[in-house]
Amino acid sequence: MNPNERKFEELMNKMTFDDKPDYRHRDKLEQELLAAFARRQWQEKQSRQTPWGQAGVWRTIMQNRPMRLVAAAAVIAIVGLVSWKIFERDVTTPITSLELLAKAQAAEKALFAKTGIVHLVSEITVYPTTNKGAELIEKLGDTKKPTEEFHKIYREIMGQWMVSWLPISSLQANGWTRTNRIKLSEGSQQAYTIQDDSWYDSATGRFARVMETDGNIIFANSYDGSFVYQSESMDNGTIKVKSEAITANFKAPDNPAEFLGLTAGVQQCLDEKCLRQPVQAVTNDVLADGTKVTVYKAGFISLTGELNTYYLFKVRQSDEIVAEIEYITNGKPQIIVRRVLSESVEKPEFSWNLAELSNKELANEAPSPVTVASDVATPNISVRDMAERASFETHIFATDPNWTQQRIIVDVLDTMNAPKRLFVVLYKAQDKRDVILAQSETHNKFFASMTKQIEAGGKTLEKTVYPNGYKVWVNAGPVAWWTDLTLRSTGIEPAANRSGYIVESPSGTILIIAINGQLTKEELDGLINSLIPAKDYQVK
Amino acid sequence: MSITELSGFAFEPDPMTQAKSDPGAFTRLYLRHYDAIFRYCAHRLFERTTAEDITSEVFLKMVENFQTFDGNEKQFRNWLYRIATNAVNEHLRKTARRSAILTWVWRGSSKNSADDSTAADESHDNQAVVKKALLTLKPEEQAIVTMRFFENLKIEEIAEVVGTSAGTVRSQLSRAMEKLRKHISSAQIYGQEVTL
Repeated sequence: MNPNERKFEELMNKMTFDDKPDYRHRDKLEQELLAAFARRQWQEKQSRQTPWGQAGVWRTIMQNRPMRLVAAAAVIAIVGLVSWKIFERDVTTPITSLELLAKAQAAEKALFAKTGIVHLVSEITVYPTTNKGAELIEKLGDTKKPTEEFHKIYREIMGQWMVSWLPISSLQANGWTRTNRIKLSEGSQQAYTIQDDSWYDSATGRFARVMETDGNIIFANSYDGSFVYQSESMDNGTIKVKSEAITANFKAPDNPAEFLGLTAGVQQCLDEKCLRQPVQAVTNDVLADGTKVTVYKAGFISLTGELNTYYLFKVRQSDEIVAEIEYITNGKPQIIVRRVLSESVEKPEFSWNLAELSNKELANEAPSPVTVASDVATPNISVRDMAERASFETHIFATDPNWTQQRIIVDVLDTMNAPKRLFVVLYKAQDKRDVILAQSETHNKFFASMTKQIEAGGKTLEKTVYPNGYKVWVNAGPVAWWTDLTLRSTGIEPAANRSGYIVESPSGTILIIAINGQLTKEELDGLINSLIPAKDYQVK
Repeated sequence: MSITELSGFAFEPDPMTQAKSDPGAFTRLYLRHYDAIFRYCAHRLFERTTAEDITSEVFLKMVENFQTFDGNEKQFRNWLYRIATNAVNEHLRKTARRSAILTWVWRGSSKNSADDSTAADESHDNQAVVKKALLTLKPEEQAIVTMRFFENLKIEEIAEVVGTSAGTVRSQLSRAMEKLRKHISSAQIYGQEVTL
């Protein structure tokens, strides 16, 4: 800098500007940016569906936008849940897909940060619903696109696709989070309201959560500093509280909002790894108690331009705290979660060790039609477990791919076909070419429908047959797109050169293989040739 | 238990890559750069409301193109400055608006002169002279001067922002300084005669 410049700089330094950032503007812009970011991500995701690479029958099928969306629906529904609290626990990126709510969720967390014991009360209203996902996917194979009937089924699938059950998270003694679900008994015709009470002591991390409906306690989870207490639903409609000493790896949760309070569990539904419904409208409203709220309507627009299935997030304007979340499909509410109370108290109504509930099986006067099931996902099961738990023939590589170092099998609820299970086998690789093998009855039904559509169009599906009888579908559609979804669902950032294969077993079931990179011909051949029925797997 | 812990492998995601898919990382990136970009706009435009509008425009443009950006965070900062420079220049090219700013600055100066006598008034008066002088520069020159003296960017960094060579920036800066010298050399700034 020459003397003149230095002199000018001195002059500049003496100048004053109205240049102090106004954080109201910064925060407002942040909201706009997050909304724009969400839109861009969705557009990017859509555009990633295009590099199909090879011409073929799949192109004909998949160029049809409805079919792509239905396929997306099925694939996400199948694998989306895997990320729920299994792979994502403690990942330091808690912001979710509905970015406009990021601040609201932070506010939820702030509620728990208050000194002393915080008591939160929410009301959860669950409406009766029938899961027809599997049936609809099957029916799709019989329809001709793009007829009215096809659109009708498609709309219904979209309705099923959205998570029409409420995930309830609970902390386990090993520090992991378990995802449970509120379930209404089959044939239940009426809605039920559940009171959800949580107490949290920020100084010690101790907490208690108890849910009850019609005087029946249906769920409880707590941590007293040494033990974790967790209710289990019994077959006779009662619950039993079990205690387990915390393991060496356990640490009190940093963010109680992950499993307590109104955004618990729901937060995961907003996670970009799960579903990313764009916000379609933002309006103002006033709740019955006079609270002014901003209402975010988030969902996917249907082919006919309708928003049939969506979430309504009602955020208090005064402090940006979520006041209410509604899940609506075809104009009818499915689930409503409403904040009732947040207060500071001297002590919880239940002991931290749930002594009031422990030591006995809680015999409810009449079995509650509402239960909390813990069957959403179980990580780290064995190959044998997979073979035994599956309602269909499952398959596995006889030897792990030689470029991978660790295998994890996760047993997940097949939401489109509940209570049946789907299985995701993840092979982690240091060279990042992770391999995922996914299989379920929904996969089988969906791809059977696809085959039916193809054959109805007079086309033949090409397959490469391997010596062990497994067949790899040729021109297997928009591979980049569905491998992207599959990888994301297990928390893996998809690489640009990801690849994937649809494999048909000798018994006709379908296996989805997604790889976060490319395989050589030899590697692919080795992989397919090593496939065997899981029941025949020998532990080495 | 995270995937990292489950798998036993340590992955350190690049923050820029992470910000492209993770809203949390994206928000953190935005918050790290908001202040600098707002200040730059305020220094260029001398007016808060317009500076905030342009800042919004800058970041919204950034979101639109973020997926195609390929670089580290320093390059990202320079990229933001480039978007901001273009946005401010575009704004200033709207002659009517530019005249309005000049008038506003000058009125502020005159008012202070009329009120007279206090040190604060004198300071405002002097600032008005400098601001007015800055506004007589071409937008591109004004950008370079602002980045150099208010944002303390190095010549090489300015060159990256404006998409030219360091040598060209030096020449442009030199020409801009000469113009400024002509505009304010006769003025008594902060009690001293300025000879640039």
